[in-house]
Amino acid sequence: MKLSDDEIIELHDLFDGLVENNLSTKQKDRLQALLQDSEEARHFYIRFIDMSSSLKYYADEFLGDEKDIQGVKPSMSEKIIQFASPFLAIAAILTVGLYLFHTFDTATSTDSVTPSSENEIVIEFDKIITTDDSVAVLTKSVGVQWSKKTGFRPELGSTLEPSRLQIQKGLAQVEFLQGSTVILEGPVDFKILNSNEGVLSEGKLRATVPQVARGFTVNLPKGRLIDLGTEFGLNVHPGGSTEIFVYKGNVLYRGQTDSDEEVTREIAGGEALFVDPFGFANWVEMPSEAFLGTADLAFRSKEESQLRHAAWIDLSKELSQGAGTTLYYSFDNQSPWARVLQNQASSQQNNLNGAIVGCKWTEGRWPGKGALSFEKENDRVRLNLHEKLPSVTLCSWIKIDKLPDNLSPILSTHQMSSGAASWYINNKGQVVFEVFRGSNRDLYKSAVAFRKERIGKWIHVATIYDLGSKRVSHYVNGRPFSHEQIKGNIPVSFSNSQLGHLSKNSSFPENITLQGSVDEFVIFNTSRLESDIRRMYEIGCPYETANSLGPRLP
Amino acid sequence: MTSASDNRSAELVQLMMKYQRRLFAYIHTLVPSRSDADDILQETSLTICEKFKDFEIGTNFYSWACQIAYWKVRAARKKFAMSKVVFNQEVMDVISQTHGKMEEELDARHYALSRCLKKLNERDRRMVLTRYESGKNVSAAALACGRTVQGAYKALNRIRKVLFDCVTFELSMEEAK
Repeated sequence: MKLSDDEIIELHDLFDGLVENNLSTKQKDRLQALLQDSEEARHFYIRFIDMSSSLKYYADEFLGDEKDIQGVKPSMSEKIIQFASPFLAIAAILTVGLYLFHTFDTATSTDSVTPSSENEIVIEFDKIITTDDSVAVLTKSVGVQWSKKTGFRPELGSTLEPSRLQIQKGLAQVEFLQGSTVILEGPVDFKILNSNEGVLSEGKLRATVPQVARGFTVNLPKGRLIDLGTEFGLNVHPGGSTEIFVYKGNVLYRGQTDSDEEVTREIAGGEALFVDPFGFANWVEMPSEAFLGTADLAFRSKEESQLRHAAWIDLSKELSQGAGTTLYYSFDNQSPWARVLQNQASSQQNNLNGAIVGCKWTEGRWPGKGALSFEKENDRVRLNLHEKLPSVTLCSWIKIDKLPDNLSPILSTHQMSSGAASWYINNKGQVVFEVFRGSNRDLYKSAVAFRKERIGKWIHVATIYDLGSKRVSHYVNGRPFSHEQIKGNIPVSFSNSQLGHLSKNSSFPENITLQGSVDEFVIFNTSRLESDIRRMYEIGCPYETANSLGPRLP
Repeated sequence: MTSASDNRSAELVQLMMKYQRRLFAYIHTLVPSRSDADDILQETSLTICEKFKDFEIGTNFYSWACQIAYWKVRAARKKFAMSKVVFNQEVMDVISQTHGKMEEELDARHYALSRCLKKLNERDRRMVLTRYESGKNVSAAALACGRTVQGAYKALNRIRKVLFDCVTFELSMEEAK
């Protein structure tokens, strides 16, 4: 089958929609049919998608070079990891260990890019073909879970062509190009027909229609609603009955009953209409609560969360550049397949990078921020901090999904020599800092900190071990929890350590893995002030802190 | 001291370094979502490491790796249905066969693309490269270039067409030499 010019143009647009995940089911079927029938279409397709792969490769290379110029100089081993992380990380875990990352620095040169010629060609920008089938944009979403029935799952910010949105749970805001905005609340089934019209088959919708979009129409099971410049809510029940609430302005409902009677109602602000499954309309009272009022709240809380994330990014930079920061894992900006946890402390070498074994990347305190989830027997991050520290401050954001019968390790060391230290939550919910002193294990325990109400939530934990003041202090969510006198005079170390895991030893007869997630971990080689700990908690807290100034027991 | 197993590991890493991009490109043609293709590359890499002891050095590593990738994509189809794989099995098979015949051309296109990228104006180049940077999306590209998200979609559509045509033109010029 020889492709026509129109088909070639159509193919390009389909490819473009495909890589941006913007294709409707109908368009996917069309693309599939073209690829099945035409070898030429497949050639075009493979060239196009291969270009996408190459762009990904060059993006890392070109933009990586720019970062070098701007003073962020990744080491050669970091560059290798950046380009080849899936292979190298797995190779490291399965075969020869973390040292591979440092051993094969020269390997990248085998796949370098051919130098480019400088011959200019003229790219005819005037003859650019653009498409404009987009009719709406997905502008906000909170906790959206797409229906299992649908393969169309646009990302936030995606432009939408005529398509069907099937949401199982959560809230999504769609802005139509003609100006109307609708908020959909799952479970909902909504079809976008064009830039000013949709079909609500089931679920809740709230629409705000400015004057410029007057005429915005929603088709319903037994009729259609035509907006005359207003704000209204719709709820289509599974049986086909529909509630219409008008908050401002006027809308026109036109429908037909099962006995072919025409139904027309003009609904004014403050009025509500119920259309039964047979198409008959009855006036009802407006609900006392704002329809989908939760949507505003949810979107506001999302914006709040984004602001908090931005504030934390500034703090994170400060922590990474601090002179006393020995090790800092922010868990941010790491590829979802990364198996090396980057130490962000600028004063340190990369040998404090952690090797991720088993753990999965998951969402952290904010949408878009990474964290590592620990669950299976061998999940852990291996690290090696040889330095002996007379004073140390450990801080971490952790989320414990369940308290096991034994303990929940945060950081533990394999060593059993004097000074070897571990940090964990015991089965009673106490924060424990353990230090080997000769053949003794000194345990510094807090009061009970992890009760039921803290399980499944992000909690900030900090412990200071300070030989200067001979004191160990524990903090939970920024507040001091207990202080204890240090026995002995031994600096601590974390050689051969593991984050989120404790290997069996004389005290614990089995391997123990944290049942939860970690999304920030920092070790300072000094004793930090209580106000510093409090600040790290307040800025890093993913939700609003109640009564942040008053004294409060955590 | 270098043991035989260390040498084998070094060979594995070198082969992987050499073919990673091409293997990703192959998976990407079967799985158009970049993040899904990344996931499958990860799974493929794991199997390659596990089975590398069976690979005979000197034979075609890329073909061997593509076979593993192909079965990983098939497995993903069963496991994830439509979420990870867009095409039906029949279409996937014909794409895979066609891909096998285009290796040389695709390599040439890859290098031509680097030249074409340099011919874009600064704003367009930044836009398209930001879009394709790991972990970035159209919103990030829009932000980096001071455009609206809607404008960024249109611009990317245009830039991809320009780059595609430029690469085709470059190759035709090479052939004419």
